[in-house]
Amino acid sequence: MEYLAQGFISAFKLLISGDEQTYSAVFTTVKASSLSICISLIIGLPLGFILGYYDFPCKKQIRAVVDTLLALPTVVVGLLVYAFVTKKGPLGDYNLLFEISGIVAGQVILILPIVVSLSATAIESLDERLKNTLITLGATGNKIILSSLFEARFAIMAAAVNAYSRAIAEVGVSMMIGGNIKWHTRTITTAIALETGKGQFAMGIALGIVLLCIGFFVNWVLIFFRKRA
Amino acid sequence: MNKTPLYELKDIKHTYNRFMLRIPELIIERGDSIGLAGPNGSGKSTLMRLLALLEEPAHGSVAFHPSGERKTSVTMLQQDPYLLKRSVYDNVSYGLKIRKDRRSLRERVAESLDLVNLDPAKFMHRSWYELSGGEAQRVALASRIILKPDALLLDEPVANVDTESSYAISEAVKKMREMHSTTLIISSHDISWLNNITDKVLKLHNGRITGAGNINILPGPWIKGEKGLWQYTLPEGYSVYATEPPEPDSIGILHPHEIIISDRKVKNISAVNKVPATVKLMVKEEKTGSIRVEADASGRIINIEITEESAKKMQIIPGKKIFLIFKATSVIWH
Amino acid sequence: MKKFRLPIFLSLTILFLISSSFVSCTKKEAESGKSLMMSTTTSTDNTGLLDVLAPEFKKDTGIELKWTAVGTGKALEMGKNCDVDVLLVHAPASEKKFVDDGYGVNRTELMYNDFVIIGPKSDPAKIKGQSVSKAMQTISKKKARFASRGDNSGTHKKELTLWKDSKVAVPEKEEWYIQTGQGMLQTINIAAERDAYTMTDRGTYIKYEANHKGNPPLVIVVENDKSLFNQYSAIEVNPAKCAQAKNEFAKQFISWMASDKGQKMIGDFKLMDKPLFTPNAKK
Repeated sequence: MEYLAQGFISAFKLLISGDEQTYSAVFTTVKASSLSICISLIIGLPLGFILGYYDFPCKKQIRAVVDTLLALPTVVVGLLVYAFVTKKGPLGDYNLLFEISGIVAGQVILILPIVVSLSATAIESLDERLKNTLITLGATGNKIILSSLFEARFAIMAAAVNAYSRAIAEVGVSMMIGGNIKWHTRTITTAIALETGKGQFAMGIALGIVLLCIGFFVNWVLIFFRKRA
Repeated sequence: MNKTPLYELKDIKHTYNRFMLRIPELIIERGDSIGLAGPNGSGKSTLMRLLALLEEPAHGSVAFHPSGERKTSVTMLQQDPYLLKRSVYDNVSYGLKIRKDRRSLRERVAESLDLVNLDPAKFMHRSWYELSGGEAQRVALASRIILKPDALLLDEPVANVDTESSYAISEAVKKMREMHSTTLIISSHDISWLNNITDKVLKLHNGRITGAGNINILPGPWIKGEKGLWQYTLPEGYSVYATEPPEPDSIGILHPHEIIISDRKVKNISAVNKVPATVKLMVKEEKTGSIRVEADASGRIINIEITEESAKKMQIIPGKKIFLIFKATSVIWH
Repeated sequence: MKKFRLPIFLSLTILFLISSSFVSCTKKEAESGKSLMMSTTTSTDNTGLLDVLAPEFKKDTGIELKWTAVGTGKALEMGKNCDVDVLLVHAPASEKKFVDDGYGVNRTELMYNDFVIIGPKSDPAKIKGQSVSKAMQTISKKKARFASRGDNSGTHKKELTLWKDSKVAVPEKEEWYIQTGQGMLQTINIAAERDAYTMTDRGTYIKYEANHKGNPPLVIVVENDKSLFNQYSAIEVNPAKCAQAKNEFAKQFISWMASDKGQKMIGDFKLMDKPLFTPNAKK
């Protein structure tokens, strides 16, 4: 129990003192997950839109698959990606292993289902009357799609936040693909795993609190954009 | 002045729910002001959707001849107030922004809001969730009239709004007609209101236009009675008699001028129908000068036309018990 | 003002992302291009030795040592997969196979630390002070609870060798044999909870002891037996099998570790003020 209180105090000290190792881990975490969320949104939003907006054969089955992928264990994704990025694997020449780029690749695979599934739901939840309203005001084709997306913006933002949280908090991919290399690919979560493995529970808690601070900061910024859906 | 009709509907057969909308021909001229009346499920909304070009009929054609671009010359206001999740200003200006028509945008938005009696200073910057139902419906209307469409379609526009908004909407719509000769097509189940706003009211029943004006619809079911007559029992038990319908599901139509009002039960008349009724409403029709009487005949509202003199002579006032007299042959079939 | 919220937010975010990637970019550039990728074990990393040696190595050679700490099995796998340039592990049998199979060359012994067998203060099996073989036999006979790493790590392999050399069959399915499948510290904690014996490297035990402020529930019962020595070696990943391996740097690393300076630093390294390694590179 002691380590909980210790952890809080250490967290405070780490952040205020500007501890190099901690901040290095913070930047690595933020950099990796920010890149992951950007790429996932670019790929995932259109896919999610298509899944939610249009009707096509096997739609329900595809949706079921996507929803199942939401529960992918991070270590499994790590293993899968490792098989590809290891020097002997098909993507070995791209130097993704032990680099942030590899972590990003793995995290994208991890959070893409979240983006697709939740944005599909966001689109499906749009009022039926929206389309008629847009058409009757003169919108056509692309404009209808863009305006519909805009109407769903709150739910889509929630999906993005959800995916981002998952990326920030995952260990499996960062550990297996990043390798937890100090200064380079040590993220907050792999650092926590390391410290916990060494028995330094207080440090683990401290870093955990740092992680929560990042998450809180992200959500706090989004408060300004949260309105009634 | 363009002489082609604005709308020409031919041979429409279109299914909705379990009914089929069947319209052999419907012509709407530029500048017309048409009401569509009928109970729920009579096909009003479906017809509106076809006229709004939101759907294409399964069979038949809807020819629309606007003066400008086809798609943007007709706009429809739906029954439940629905706005985009934006400010009032963004909602009203949406249609114009799409057309890249941004000249004096602010002024035009203010103008439209004025037309629906919403103070621009107060409402321009409100968000969609800061409006009451009636205010939202008015903003929705403003966002459509700002487009100055050839045809303005309103589907039960005042069904779910408060009185003040209802009045504002009615006035706005009338002004549009005055200022821009906008063709109006309005559907409602409130016949009195429709008669007030529009020039001609089309009655719909079971997917068919059964007539215009104040005709009475006797839908049935009609069952074979005695003496070669067929009877239809009104909601509260009294029966109406007519000649044999051509088809079992035919609808009976009774024109108001076929009915004679009497303030006492008369004997020795050949007319077989002498339905007791209570006067509910009396309205002087500005256009014809005669008085339209709405009477509750055994649970069904029947329209009758009488002259002002007759009304005075018989002392017809709302609440008075009268008799509606008409022949069996007066009921024509649709 | 409301109108501008979204653009402001977006530009701030983009600015932040750009600046953070810029920061790490410049950091990388400042460290120049020479780097060496090494796989080693978690227990090695946990001693903190590498954190002391790496900066010195960089000063002397200009090469940045980057290492990932995993289980011995995985460290060797990475060598086979050409994911790393050099290995630093402590599992002689597996290392020899690794070299024999052609995956590694120039295996160089660098230093050793030792393992100890620890158990409850009360020493229920009464093995204190015995030799390793006697102790293992006693534990087996008395069915005293014993916690094992059970994860194919170097430590685990060492433990299996001890059973073998004591002529006791590995108690795979025995009830008193607890296979944790976890790291050393976790295994010790589990052993403490179950009042069990276990085998650990001295480094981890020193830390464990310090965590309990010098009064841990498990104490050393068997030590200094030759068979408990834990030999660390470095192996170059075979450039013939891995064309991209930075073999030159790997060679530089190994010769630096075996040099007088490297060996002295290894010997002087203290964990909690206690020496941990004995350098033994051949001259």
